[in-house]
Amino acid sequence: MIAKRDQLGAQIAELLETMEIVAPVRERGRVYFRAVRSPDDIAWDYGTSVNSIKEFFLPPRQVLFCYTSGGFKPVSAVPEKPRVIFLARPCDARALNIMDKVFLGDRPDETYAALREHATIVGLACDRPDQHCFCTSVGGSPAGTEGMDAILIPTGDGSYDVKILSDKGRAIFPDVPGDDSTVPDEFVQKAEAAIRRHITVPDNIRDSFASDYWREVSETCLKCGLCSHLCPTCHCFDIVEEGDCRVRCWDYCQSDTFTRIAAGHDHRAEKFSRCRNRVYHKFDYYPENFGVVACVGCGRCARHCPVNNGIADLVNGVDAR
Amino acid sequence: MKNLYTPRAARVKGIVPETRDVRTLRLALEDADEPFDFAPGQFLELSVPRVGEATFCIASCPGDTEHIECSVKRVGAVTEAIHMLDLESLVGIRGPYGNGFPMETLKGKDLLFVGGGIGLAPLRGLIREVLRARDDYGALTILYGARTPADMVYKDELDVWQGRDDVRTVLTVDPGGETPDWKAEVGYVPDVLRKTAPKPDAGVAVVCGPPIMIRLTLAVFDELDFDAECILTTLELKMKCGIGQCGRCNVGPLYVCKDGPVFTYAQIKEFMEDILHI
Repeated sequence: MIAKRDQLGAQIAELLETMEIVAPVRERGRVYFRAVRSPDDIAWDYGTSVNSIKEFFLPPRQVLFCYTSGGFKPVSAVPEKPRVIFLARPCDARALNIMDKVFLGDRPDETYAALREHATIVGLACDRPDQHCFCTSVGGSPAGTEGMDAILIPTGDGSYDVKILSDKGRAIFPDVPGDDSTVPDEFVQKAEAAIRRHITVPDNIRDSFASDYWREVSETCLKCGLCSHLCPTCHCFDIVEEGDCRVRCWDYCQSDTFTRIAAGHDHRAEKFSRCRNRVYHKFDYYPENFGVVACVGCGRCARHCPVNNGIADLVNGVDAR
Repeated sequence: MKNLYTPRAARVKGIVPETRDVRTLRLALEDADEPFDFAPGQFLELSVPRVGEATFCIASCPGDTEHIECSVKRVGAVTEAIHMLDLESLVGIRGPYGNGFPMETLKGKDLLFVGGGIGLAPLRGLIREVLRARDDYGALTILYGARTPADMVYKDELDVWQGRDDVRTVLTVDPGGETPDWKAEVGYVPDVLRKTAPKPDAGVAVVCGPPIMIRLTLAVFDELDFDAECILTTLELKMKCGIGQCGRCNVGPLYVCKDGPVFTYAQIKEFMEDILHI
């Protein structure tokens, strides 16, 4: 079913009465996923967003429990209203399925599971990749529907072809017939052809483990952690004390405190070993454990890296050896 | 809503000073009716309210039903706070986590335990478990070293092991650490191991100690031609969650918290430089 932007906007306004709507919002020239107050806030024609939608499933800072006189009182991080993540790109939606492997495995994380259950993902097929995007090299597609409950396919005139992909999606768009959920071939081919960046993960990447390559390529890293924080699949976290409560917060593997233990011993004290571990974690260990690369090719780590050291270059450089 | 990071309340029921910077805590859960079933070699997360949480191996064995024991060396903020705890202090416990020792594999075999410093803690639970069913195992050798005689933990237990005729116990202190009345070996653990030259066909070796000791000890086992499948080590890398999610204790694709902490040397050999970097 074809829907116009203002029709969808009216529907969002209605949904806002009972649900939280998270959508791309333009702030000082950049686009971020934020909770919106009105459909007017939505940046419909965005290309890429600075943040991914990860933070709505793995909060950057989450109070786990607080101390009481005789023990520990758990704190819920799940908002009362159910959530719709609106206009998520295929790369970001797919990243959730990849993070599920960690958080919904043999020891499911209650908060993550509840936030996943709580959310409906309405995706936006991608016709605006930039020079950093490489989703097609890592198993994704700009027209992919993995991880989505519904997808909007831009038809070029401010209208969208709406496809339903799950019962949750149907609940948001009850008027859309659910008989056709395929993205038209024409869109897929055009969108995939627009992806200009490609990476090749060498089959024998493990052979490069001891290479000096890792020292060379990690030299310029500032250990700022931006790559991890913006990465939709980076899931590493820290657990820290904050006053009367214990808090889980995002952490990043390039930090020089990431693996340091009390008394100062650090098995990955050198920057190169942390850089290497990051690449192997995503492209070797994760596939070995879960059958999927822990990278969706969103390009954020290159787009925002202050020293232009994105993961695509790091991986392609291994192959050149 | 509950979350798996909220610990169970426990109380300190006993404090045993081991050395100048190690003490053993005896802990009892407040909800003692809920089981805390663990295997030797597993670990727990111990919380001190308003200070933090850290990882400790369980130094007691499943048969010790009255208390859960952890031996804690004072090295950082959390361990400092643990050393300040009094009897009946409130602590938090999460776990048990990790795989533990493969008890079925060990049955019927000769066992060689190699420990250094506080690294005897995880071996102690295992040794206790083995001694409870002594007849199920072959010859037992315990090689334990510390910097000085005063740095040895579980001194009473070492005496008991030394007094048994069905356990061979070799104690050593680092060169320069010996006192005038020290009668046993002087030398670093890997060197003493090389000197005792155990036969590679004998059984299973279990190694735990500081990273440098583990690394050098494993190298000696290579020299002695041991099969890397028959050497177990129990590792401790920085960890937060204990369940394979926080992402920092990996040994290649394996997580110390989830796939370990007990590994065969064969499992970790490829990543020695990465994890036992010295």
